[in-house]
Amino acid sequence: MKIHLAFENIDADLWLSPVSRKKRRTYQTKTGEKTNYKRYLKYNMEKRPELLLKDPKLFKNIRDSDPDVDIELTGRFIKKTRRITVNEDFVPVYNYMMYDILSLPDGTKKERLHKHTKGNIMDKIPVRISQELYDPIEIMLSYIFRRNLYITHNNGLTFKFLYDLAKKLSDLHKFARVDTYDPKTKKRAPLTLYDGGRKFPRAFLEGRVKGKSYCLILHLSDQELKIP
Amino acid sequence: MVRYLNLKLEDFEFKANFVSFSRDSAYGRQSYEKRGEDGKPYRTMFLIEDGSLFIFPNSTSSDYFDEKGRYIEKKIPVDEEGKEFTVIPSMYKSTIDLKNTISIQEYFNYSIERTYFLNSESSDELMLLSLECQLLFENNQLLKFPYAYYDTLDRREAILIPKEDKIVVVVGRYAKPEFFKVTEIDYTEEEEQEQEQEDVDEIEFEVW
Repeated sequence: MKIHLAFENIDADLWLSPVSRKKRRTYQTKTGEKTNYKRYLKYNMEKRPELLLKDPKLFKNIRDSDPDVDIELTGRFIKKTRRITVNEDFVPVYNYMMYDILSLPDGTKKERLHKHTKGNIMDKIPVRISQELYDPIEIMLSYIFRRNLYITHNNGLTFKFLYDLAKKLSDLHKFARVDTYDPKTKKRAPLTLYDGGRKFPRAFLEGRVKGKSYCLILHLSDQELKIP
Repeated sequence: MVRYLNLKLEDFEFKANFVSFSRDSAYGRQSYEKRGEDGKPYRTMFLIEDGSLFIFPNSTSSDYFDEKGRYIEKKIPVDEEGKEFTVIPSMYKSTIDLKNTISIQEYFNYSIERTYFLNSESSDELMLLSLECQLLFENNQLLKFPYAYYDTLDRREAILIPKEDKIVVVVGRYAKPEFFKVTEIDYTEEEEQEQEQEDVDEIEFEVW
């Protein structure tokens, strides 16, 4: 993933990479043989017990319809599935309106026509490292960091740019606020890594140096540390 | 049903439980709905690969089978080199001795997945733990212990942060920080190559 980043009127296209990758895991049998991970049909969700038990005439309906496990279907291995939208008669539909529903903690609901989120880290207006510096303890007690990403160089010039930036932050023992801007309103906008991705209203940059190497971590937050 | 942890701080042992709070509980939960022109909600279903069947969401399952397609009851998790993974036991199975700490700088190496605050009927012990957390915090230290609701293969840690007379528990994964160096070019090789090139005939400008 790339990021268009600016600091003190210098901008550059840099790399963003995750701080950790999950160790790949497979399973084997007791005798050390390989296993295959397969997807299979389980059952019809409409006939799950909690739904059936809601039916006051369950006994009569079972007796009359004589249902049984569909041995042709249950346990059948399947590979890919395609997501489709159907109406109440289970007929596929292609024209529909999409709504965003927000269920608030007080039980009320808000809705709006679906707004597709757009990634904004590679826009013409760069992601800006602001001059606002924060104490790490203050940040730790204020926000929850869901995602951490490394900002890395792609050539010798960007190495120098990032090394100097990391050294500056490391020497000051501070984090810098990182902002993205709405290209229309030119106001601060939540940082979104990719189209349809999560919005992060706060982002901070941490810098560390060790000898001739640097570590720049972009900390992303979508939640304040507030006890309800 | 509330599950209680057995916590041990020096010589004191007491029970405590986690109370969850999340982004959803603070700002609301976002979901999506598809509707027709008449406002009636539409639903999402799945079509299997050969197009022969519509299925409802959650009506498939996945598991491990052998070469002959037989279900494997006891399977062993291994990494790419065939080395067995260690199972981390559930934190509810034994007493948690609160003695391990991390520095505040190390805290920023964690990606946080869940947030709770600690609750206990033993208010004196909870107060004691709160004071201990506060004292450690003033020395740039935070208490931590391995977090596993069930037996798991995924290593997560719970970190205790004192805030407003309460103890916030954040659960996250640790990632060792990586430092990046510039790619250094070995000029000696380049010089040798240049010397070799001197022997090569130069291209004439009269090329056509």
